[in-house]
Amino acid sequence: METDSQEPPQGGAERPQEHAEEPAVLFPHAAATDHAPRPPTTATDDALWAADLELVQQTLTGDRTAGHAFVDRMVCIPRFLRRLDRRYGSPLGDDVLSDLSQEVAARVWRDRSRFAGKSRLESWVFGYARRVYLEGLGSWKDQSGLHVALDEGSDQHVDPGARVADAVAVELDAQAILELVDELPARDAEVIREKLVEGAPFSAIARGRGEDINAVKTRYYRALDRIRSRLHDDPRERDSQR
Amino acid sequence: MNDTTHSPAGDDLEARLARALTEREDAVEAALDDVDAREDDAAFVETLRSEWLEPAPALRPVGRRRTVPRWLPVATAAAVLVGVVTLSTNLGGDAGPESRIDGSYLDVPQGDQAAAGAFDGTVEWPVSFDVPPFYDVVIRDLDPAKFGDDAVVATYKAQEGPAWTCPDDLETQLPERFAVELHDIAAAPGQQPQRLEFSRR
Repeated sequence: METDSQEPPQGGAERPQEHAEEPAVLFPHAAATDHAPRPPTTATDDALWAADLELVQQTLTGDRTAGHAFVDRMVCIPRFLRRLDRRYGSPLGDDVLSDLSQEVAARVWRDRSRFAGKSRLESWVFGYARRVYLEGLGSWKDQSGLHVALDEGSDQHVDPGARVADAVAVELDAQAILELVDELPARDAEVIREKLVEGAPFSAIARGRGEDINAVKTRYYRALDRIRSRLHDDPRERDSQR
Repeated sequence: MNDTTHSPAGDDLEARLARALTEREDAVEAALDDVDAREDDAAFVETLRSEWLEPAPALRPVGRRRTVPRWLPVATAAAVLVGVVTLSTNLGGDAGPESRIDGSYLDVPQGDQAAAGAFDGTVEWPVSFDVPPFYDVVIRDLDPAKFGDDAVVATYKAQEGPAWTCPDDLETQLPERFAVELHDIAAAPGQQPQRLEFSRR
């Protein structure tokens, strides 16, 4: 793939300025608590995750039926990339996104044996899409000269580069966090999700899982501590705190 | 008490976690619900289908291939074809050198070999191959001595295609007998690479 040689789309460098006063547009989820709680996780989710894991494992044995089903699921890739691109004012354009889609697909297919079935297949693919998108965005940013604004660091500038850099930092943070969540034992990850995405109180989580509330709390805070300590070990996190 | 904002460490980790998880779920739901569906999404999927699921074409040299009449004496052929490598073939990678069709000058695959898509003939340097996306090319010494235990002479990462040409600077390094292997970068465990063996003249 040759995203480095891609010309930025016409007017692409200017587009972020259109939203210079609207940073929230870039990150509609900046305040997680603004979201209405999601429907609670059901046993069906676990079954879907297990089914996705089985599907992936079947592709590794060369099962063609599974291969076709897997390929059908990859339709999410261009959709993820378009969604990511829209947050930045669609600077990359269809041609670049098409190349990035191929790159995401290549990495997903190459790495599919790493899928552990701790989420839907699409959730796992989303991590690849975001990583590849940020790489593509970095190339576009360098080509479009936005690094100049970043390097000068002056408040006098209309500074789309800095805004892109801030946005990328948030994306990288989210990516790092999700990778750590996906490394958690499945039960811990589920409690994290129920608590933070669904907004369920500990009592409801405990009741739904048939566990003692103190055990659920312990698992939750232990998982948070684990993520926190791993983040502090992560060079990306250290960089962001400088 | 609003549990979602409580953090014993007083940092914003929970908010960051909530944001990241929610964002991912939103994206997945939108993708699954075809919220952002476009016609070219289907074309993208069909491209993947052909690249991932269609069997890779048999490894065959392309272009620069030279047919040598069956009746032409070997010595004459060697004299005429300066800088030529003679190709013998072994598809599938699990057959040993003893199965090579060495010394033949047939340009058209015959019998079972034809059915397997194997190639048997003579090819002129520099040799080129069609290499599908998602395949790496590995050059391996068939008489390993100076290239270590794995006998790998050179490795070239997956190309966009459509063709890969053995680089000029490799010619001086090539051993007398070598193999060109095509490795699926997403191969299933135990899957053997396609392989063509050459001996230089």
